[in-house]
Amino acid sequence: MSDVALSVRDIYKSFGNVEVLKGTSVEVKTGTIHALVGENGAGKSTLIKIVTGVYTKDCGDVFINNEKGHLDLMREKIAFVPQELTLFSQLTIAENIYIDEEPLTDSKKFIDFSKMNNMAKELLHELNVEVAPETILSELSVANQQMVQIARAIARKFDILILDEPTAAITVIETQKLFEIVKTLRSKGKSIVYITHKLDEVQEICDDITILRDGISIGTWSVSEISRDEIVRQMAGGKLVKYKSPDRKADSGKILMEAKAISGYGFYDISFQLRKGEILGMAGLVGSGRTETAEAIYGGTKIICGELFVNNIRVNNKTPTDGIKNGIIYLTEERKTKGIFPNLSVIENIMIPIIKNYKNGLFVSENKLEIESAKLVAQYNVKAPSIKEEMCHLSGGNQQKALLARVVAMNPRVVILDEPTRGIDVNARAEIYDKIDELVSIGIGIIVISSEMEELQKITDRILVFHEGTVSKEIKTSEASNENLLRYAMGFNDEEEDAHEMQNNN
Amino acid sequence: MIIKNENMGNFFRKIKNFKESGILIVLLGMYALVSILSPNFCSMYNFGVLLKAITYLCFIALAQHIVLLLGDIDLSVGAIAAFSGVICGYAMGQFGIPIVPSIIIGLGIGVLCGLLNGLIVTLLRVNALIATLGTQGIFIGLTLVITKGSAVMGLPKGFFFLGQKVFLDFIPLAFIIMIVALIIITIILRKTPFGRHIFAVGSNKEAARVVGLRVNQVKIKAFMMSGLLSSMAGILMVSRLTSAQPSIGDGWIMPSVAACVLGGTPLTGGEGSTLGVLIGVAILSIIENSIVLLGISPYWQTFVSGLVVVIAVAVDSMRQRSSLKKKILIEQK
Ligand SMILES: Nc1ncnc2c1ncn2[C@@H]1O[C@H](COP(=O)(O)OP(=O)(O)OP(=O)(O)O)[C@@H](O)[C@H]1O
Ligand SMILES: [Mg+2]
Repeated sequence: MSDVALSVRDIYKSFGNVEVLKGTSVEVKTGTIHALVGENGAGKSTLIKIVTGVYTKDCGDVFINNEKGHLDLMREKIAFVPQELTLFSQLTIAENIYIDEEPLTDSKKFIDFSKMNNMAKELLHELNVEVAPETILSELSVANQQMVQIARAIARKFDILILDEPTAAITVIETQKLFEIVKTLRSKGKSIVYITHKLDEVQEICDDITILRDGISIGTWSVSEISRDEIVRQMAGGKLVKYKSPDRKADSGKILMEAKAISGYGFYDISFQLRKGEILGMAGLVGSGRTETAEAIYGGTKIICGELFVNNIRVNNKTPTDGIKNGIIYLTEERKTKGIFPNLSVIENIMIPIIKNYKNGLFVSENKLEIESAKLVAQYNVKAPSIKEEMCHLSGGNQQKALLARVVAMNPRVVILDEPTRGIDVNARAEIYDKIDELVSIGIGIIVISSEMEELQKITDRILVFHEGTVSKEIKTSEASNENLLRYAMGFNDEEEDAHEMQNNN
Repeated sequence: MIIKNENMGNFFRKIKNFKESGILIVLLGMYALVSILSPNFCSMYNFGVLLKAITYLCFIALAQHIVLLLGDIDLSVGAIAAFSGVICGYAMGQFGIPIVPSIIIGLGIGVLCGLLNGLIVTLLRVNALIATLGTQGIFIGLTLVITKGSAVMGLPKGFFFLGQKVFLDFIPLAFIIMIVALIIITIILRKTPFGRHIFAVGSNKEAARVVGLRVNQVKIKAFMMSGLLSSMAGILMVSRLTSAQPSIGDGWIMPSVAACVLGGTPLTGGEGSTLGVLIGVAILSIIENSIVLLGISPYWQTFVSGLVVVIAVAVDSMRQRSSLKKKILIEQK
């Protein structure tokens, strides 16, 4: 085997009039983890899709183990976890993992289901996903679906594993598991290309880093010789946006929303108050009930018992339409399945919920729509070839920014942001935190659900930590740390901790 | 001069980017081909025949188009046409109800049928394909029960005006009605919030729900609109044939879907245009017409429509894959 596993040379790629890759080169050494970073829309996913044969390149070369890359070779040598999930929602986990490579019975005619399920079970266990392999995929949380997607990739034979933002949708614990596996793969001589916006992860596990800016590869460094700020600067061409949290007086405002012992599908007995002028965080592990709680609050599912108040008025949101009427707007964590309208324009994706407000007589005024959405697109820095472009042609991070713009356009009183910065680059992330602060300062109540402990500590005032469907701890952000958040999320509370310490002392 | 040139460039780019241009070229090419093969094709008389065929198929295809936009499919369009046509005829022929109220009753039946479809699909959450497969049987069954299988005769003469009046020897009144309906539907789909909501629901139903659109309402209304269009086809057909025959909608489903798919409305919803539908309808009608003119056995007609459906769907999926490649080729030049 050669010492360069993957060599991508001078790739060009355009979609219509839009030039996305303008001479991109990357060289991945065998047995290393190679980070590929760049701002939203820089062309990372496009490059990877060329390397894996999803797109065809306009010109340039791809070499795999010094052999000129063609489709069969790509299929044979590369395993790929795409940014957007490509799973079959009506098949079981095991079927999803081994699709097209199902183990057969001795007669070689039928699928050996028990063998397949056992294999899947082992693999899932390795990935820390304790769900029966016979479970239908659509019953899983996004995080677990992401793990299944990873399992599908590593269940195959490959020399090169490409991961496109694999940790955007999972929490620390799964991330650590993934890292262990990736490291093991490296020690076995496999090469890994790792795309992420989380620079901590780059520093934690990657050996080399290639930075992409506007479709051009700026350069490759060894991770140990480049600083975090320098990475961001290189990504953005000099710009470095630092987020500074404003001084807010928590607990001062009136109560915007209050939940009194609400229970529903996937959560129980949850009480909290959301005050004007504060950001409330929701922390927890996969399946801890944060998203389920949010969904019931805005009317996506039902609150089975308990009471919810908005501005001291009891509300009963039977449908999202009700929730929205009551001023509660939810930003989904499932961008692809519940967020975007893939074949509608960026304009309509942002404006469709409020399109009724833009009428000239009976008809929608395209002009007004365009002007208004252009404003939002500029504000949220959505990079799109044109605002008339179909949404599915935007990069993942830019879709996310457009969805945020939509939430703001809907004139909310309370906003629930479920993983708001999923897939968003470092600078844009700081800008979005600023936007969130802006919303708070004009009196909108904000709940942020996030799997990133750092994010919650940076922007919230108070954090509810969820464990197995209920709030195990409410904590002031000033008192929160990665360690105690994680501890509460895993269900240890202070008393146990104290008891533990006492035992140790004895 | 330079400015003029730029304008020209823009103009051509617009044509190139015009989504229906590909299928329009197919239409024109086919038209030219058939004109050469059969001199009769270009006669005024035949043009009138062609317009008639286009009229009825276009109503039905528009009905189908609206449902396809939702990402659903409606197998009962023909049945609704027959049912409402027969009821309308029955009201006049059997009960002596005046023409206009009878027509309104007929249209009302179409809307009700659409409502029933919509309710089954939304409230009972039955897949539209299955739901309309069932209701199709119900509507046809009722039609047969009412007519006992034979045509309703003795309709008032005044009623025939709608389906038989021809202007300038070749433009049927029904065609004009169809064009007016087409324009109205286009405006509704393109310009009203309701129309845009149809596209949103078809593009991603879950997302539509999350952003607060009333998905069920949108669907039900769309099915009702579709039912209305189907009933128009049925009633006009009764007027043209001067009797209400229970079989008028037979065999309309396949061409309705074929015309839409040919015209760029995929079965997955959220995309497509009424102009595309019209072009698709015209192509199918020319094929059908030329089979007659060229003296090919009419038995081949069904075969050919079937073939066209298969080709249309295949072309549709190829178009999706190749549109990117083509763009790239153009760019490289
Ligand atoms: N099929 C397509 N048609 C048109 N434009 C496209 C298409 N796919 C991608 N693009 C454009 O190419 C650019 C790069 O997209 P890409 O998805 O590669 O970005 P990315 O670096 O992965 O960003 P992110 O971090 O947001 O995932 C974007 O501006 C996007 O609009
Ligand atoms: Mg990407």
